[in-house]
Amino acid sequence: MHLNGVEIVDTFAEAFPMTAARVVVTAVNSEWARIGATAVTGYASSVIGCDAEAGIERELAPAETPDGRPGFALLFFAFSRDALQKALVNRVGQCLLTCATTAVYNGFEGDAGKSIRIGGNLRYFGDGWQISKQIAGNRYWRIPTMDGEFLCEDSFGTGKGVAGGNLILAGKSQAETLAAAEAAVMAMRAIPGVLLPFPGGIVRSGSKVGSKYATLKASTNEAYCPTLRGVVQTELPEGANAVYEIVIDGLTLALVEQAMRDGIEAACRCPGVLQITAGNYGGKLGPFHIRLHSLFGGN
Amino acid sequence: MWIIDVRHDSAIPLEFDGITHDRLSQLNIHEVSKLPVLCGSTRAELGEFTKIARNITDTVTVIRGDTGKVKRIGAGMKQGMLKVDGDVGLHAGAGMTGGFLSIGGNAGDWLGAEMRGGEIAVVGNAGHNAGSAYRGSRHGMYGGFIRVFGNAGDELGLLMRRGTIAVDGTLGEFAGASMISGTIVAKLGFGPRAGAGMKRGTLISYRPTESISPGFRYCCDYAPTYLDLFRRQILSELPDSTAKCYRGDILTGGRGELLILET
Repeated sequence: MHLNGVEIVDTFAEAFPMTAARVVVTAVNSEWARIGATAVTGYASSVIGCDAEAGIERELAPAETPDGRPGFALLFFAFSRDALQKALVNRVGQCLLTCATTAVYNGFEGDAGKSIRIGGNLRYFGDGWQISKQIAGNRYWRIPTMDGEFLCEDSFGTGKGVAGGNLILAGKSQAETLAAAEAAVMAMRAIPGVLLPFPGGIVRSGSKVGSKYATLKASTNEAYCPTLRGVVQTELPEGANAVYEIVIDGLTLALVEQAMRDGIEAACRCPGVLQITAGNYGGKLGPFHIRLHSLFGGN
Repeated sequence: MWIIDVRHDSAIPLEFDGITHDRLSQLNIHEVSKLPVLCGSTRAELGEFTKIARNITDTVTVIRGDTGKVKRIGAGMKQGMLKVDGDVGLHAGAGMTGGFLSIGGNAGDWLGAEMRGGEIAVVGNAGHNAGSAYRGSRHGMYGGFIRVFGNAGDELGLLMRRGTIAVDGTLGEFAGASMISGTIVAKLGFGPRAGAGMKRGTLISYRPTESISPGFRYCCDYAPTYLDLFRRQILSELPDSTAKCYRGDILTGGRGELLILET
């Protein structure tokens, strides 16, 4: 199958369920909200080495936030609810409680009875001076800080999201392939509920499971490294000199599929792209197999 | 849904315990007229003092007529909307857990006492002990929202445990006394000894309060983020301004707060 002359490989991305939450952070202005959002979603590209996968979903206008201040919607994914709660308590505690003027709210209704306690755990920082407020059925904690108070919602909804959607773009040159990947990222980020957790939404160090070194869980995927084309079993198409991967997490499988479809279409409009494929583990890792051809109505 | 026209020109009060929207919705007109009420201490039936009609196009139950001496209107209400066109007697909305009680006139003492949810709006004044605990109880109002557009009497929100009370007019003495949690908003400021003995909770005043209880200490001027949330979700007319923050009552730990908005 070809799209705008770009080969779409007949393969599938192998995705798996992860627990997801949406956090809304607000601050006195969008600059401080951005600082907080960036800090709390840092070092969260992959659960291979991080406690969660996280990133900024989108910027929120004051009219969209619970307190009417500028804010950001953030998405977090982890392997379990316990892991997500631990990661969020640590991250919100270290990066948002400490960040000037911020407040933190739940942004996801989630599944009934599957909430995690964030403010409810952080309140102890108040050392007895914390104040609980219940507004419109939700509980909030006001923790005294040196600039006033930190406001954090008690519980956050979680639900089963989907992680591990991916696209692998091979192109003629690094510049052209990067431009195509950037176009794909821009298209995907327009979809609410979708997270591209890697820096700029793009991965340059695609990995395979395992390594020649026994202690490593993952190592470079030499089959896609142009500098090794002549010495390993390569997967690179003829003429490819750069490859970028885009990893996609979403609140639902449909959102991940939509993001992959929009990303492929955007990348295929860029010059220099030779092939788009996807990574999988032979179907052994995850229950969701997203076939690239199926995204465009193929079998 | 129902229109209950009270005809009771007597000094002896009626007691409409259990005449709530949610209960009436399951009955026919005959059963409604047979509902037990008290006239003074005498057992009687609702139909003896009222003219009852059913309005199938409206979902609101309306009580009108001589309602000023009717006690416990809306007490224990769980859901639906109950509208009273005139004044109400004692204990209106007491122990409510849900629904909306609208009072077109004034309310007597113990309005919404120990209520746990729902909303009460009073166009006129409220008597003493609105949202309070009954004598001997450990907690007053436990949730919900009481809105008084006129004045309120003494001991507003006594031993209040949760929920919100907002009063547009003046307040009597001891508002928020022994408060445990929750929020009281006073547009014209608090009366004497407000917050005396409060353990936690928030008192918000739109204007400087005449006499701040001696157990309160000035802390700082700041803009609580919580008020932004409160303004958007509960009380839209709350001024967007910084607040003078006082903490008290220091005799009971100093964990309550009085916020005087700088309007």
